Amino acid sequence: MSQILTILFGVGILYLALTSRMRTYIQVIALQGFILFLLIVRDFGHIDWFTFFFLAFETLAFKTIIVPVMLWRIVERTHVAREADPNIPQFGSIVIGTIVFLSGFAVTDWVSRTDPSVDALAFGIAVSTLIIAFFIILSRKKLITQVMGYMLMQNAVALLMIAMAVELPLLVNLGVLLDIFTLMFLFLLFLGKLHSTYEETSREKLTSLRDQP
Amino acid sequence: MMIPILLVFPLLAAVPLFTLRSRQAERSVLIAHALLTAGAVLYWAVAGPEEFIGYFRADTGNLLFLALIATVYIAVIPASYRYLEREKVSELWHRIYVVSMLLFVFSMTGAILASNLGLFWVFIEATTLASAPFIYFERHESSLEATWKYVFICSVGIAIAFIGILFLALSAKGVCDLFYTDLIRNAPQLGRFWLLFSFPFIVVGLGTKAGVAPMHSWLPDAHSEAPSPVSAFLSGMLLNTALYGLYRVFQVLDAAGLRREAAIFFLICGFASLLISAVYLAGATNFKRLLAYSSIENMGIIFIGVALGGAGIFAAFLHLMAHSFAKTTLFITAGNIAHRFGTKDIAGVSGLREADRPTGALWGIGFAALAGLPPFPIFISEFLIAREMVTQGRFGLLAAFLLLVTLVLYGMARAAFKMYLGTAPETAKREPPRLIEWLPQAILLLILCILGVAMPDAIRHIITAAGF
Repeated sequence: MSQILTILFGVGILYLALTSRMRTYIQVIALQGFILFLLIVRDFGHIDWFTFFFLAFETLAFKTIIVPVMLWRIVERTHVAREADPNIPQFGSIVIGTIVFLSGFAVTDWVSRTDPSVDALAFGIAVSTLIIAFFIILSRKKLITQVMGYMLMQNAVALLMIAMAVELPLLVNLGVLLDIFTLMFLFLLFLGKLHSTYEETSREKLTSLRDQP
Repeated sequence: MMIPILLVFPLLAAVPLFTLRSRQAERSVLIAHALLTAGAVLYWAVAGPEEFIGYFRADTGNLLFLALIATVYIAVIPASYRYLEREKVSELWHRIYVVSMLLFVFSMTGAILASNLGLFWVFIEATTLASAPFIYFERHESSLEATWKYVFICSVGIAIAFIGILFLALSAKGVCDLFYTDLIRNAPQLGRFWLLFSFPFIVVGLGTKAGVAPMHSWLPDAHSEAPSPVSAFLSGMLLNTALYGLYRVFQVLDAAGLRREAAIFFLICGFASLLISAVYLAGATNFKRLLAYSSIENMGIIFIGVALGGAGIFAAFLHLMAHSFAKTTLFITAGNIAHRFGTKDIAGVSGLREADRPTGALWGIGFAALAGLPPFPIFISEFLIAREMVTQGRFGLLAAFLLLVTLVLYGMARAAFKMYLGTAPETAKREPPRLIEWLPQAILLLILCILGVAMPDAIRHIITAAGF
């Protein structure tokens, strides 16, 4: 069951490499948050109570509900329905996304031989998700899409933690959550400002501070 | 008891400031916080190490960084007052400035005091969040652009560092937690593969925050758009804070017998920073951006010193301290120059020596301190780094180092002399500068001069201990 969930997590990110609709991005981010919640529930009994409840809250309330709602508010505020003109055309994104996704399985195979303590499938999917999230950040022009890429990165990091069964102290987990929540708030605030200043929140508008060698 | 007081004070003080609505109260809180920070540093220097709930620790390893926070903080407060007064900021933005300052210093102090790498990450991310309002403070289109780049690039960078920390945690699984002392003590037992695998992520992540090339792109924008006292803080302290965490991880790799591999990453970043700053300084048209590129160069020199090891470590931390003082001086002075001439363009400033003698003198002497002219400590640190290269027989590195440092010096000197000499434009304000506009910088330069001529043993001990 957890393998199916992990693969579903990866398929979601692969789908994002093909799409340009903001609504789809947000749906995939919410879906990944829910999958992470289910994977945490799977580990019930293997981690201490406090950590379990914290991680369950983080994945269900924060990653599945709060973050997608905040992202949706940004989309509404900036009136960006889709990424119309990415740096890399749609076909190129499909090819790159597929290659990266399949490479994830090669990583899975390598990790299963290198370190048996790691959940190799989840590790491979997390790595390919990270790479595709980076690809989205670099290849898309809309700032809101880049924020989506950042949140996908955060989901990939959460899957990586589950794959490696690395437990951080509760204090650190709490701090990380607080930081990312505040960061989302700042993104919301500044994207709103950018929208009211430039009308179009695209990376191409942010070029007034460039230097010439 | 100093650690909890130092950590709780800014948080508790920030809340009532929003209800009191008194500029006097806001200023008093800032002064109290700066004096408290300085008092805590003196206390730890005299009374020895202190630990708090196992997650925070003040000892000789971080005393230099804490002392720099305190010194730069005290120097920046008068400049902040003057800036807020000159710009006639509204009550709300005055409060935002003061609260952001409290939270910014809190997050940097927390990062330095954190004895756990995960907790360090939490505080280093918090520095980005706390300083974002500063960069947007002047609310121009360009400040908005700089703020967005700063927040987004640093957050992505810090997320990459977190991935590295997870790999490091995997290497320590079953051996120890992410406490620096445990990691260093148990370094030979850590999984070598995951430990080495973690390092590039941590270098890229924290290197982004430390402003080293090729992850530096946010730095010139943020430094040039922030108010000058804040630029002083960003350059004089924030970069050091990121470097602190990076150096602690470097020490873990060193203890695990992976020094050579770790040094390669530091050397690449160090020389890339020198190259980028040499190229861009030559064409810089804005004197705050000029200082920002100089920060990239100096962080590069510090990385090179650490990578070399031996006397290079002492040189790196001496350089770090001297750079913080010199850059604080120059950024605050740059704010005064921008006010007097009404521009940040190098082309719009000339005749500093006649238009404003104290500011002109600070600009000239500050430039000499930053350029590494004797008797200032940067001369000693750069000399020690060059000597270490000779000792290790790395003559290729030495040639590249000397060439790039000379190119940077040329780029800096060209602009500094142009601004200092010549005739001041008619539009330049002629009123004499107030004492608080130049005294803190003059004291910093005097301290630098004393350190360069006859460094007290206590200071030498603090610098040496930072490397161990």
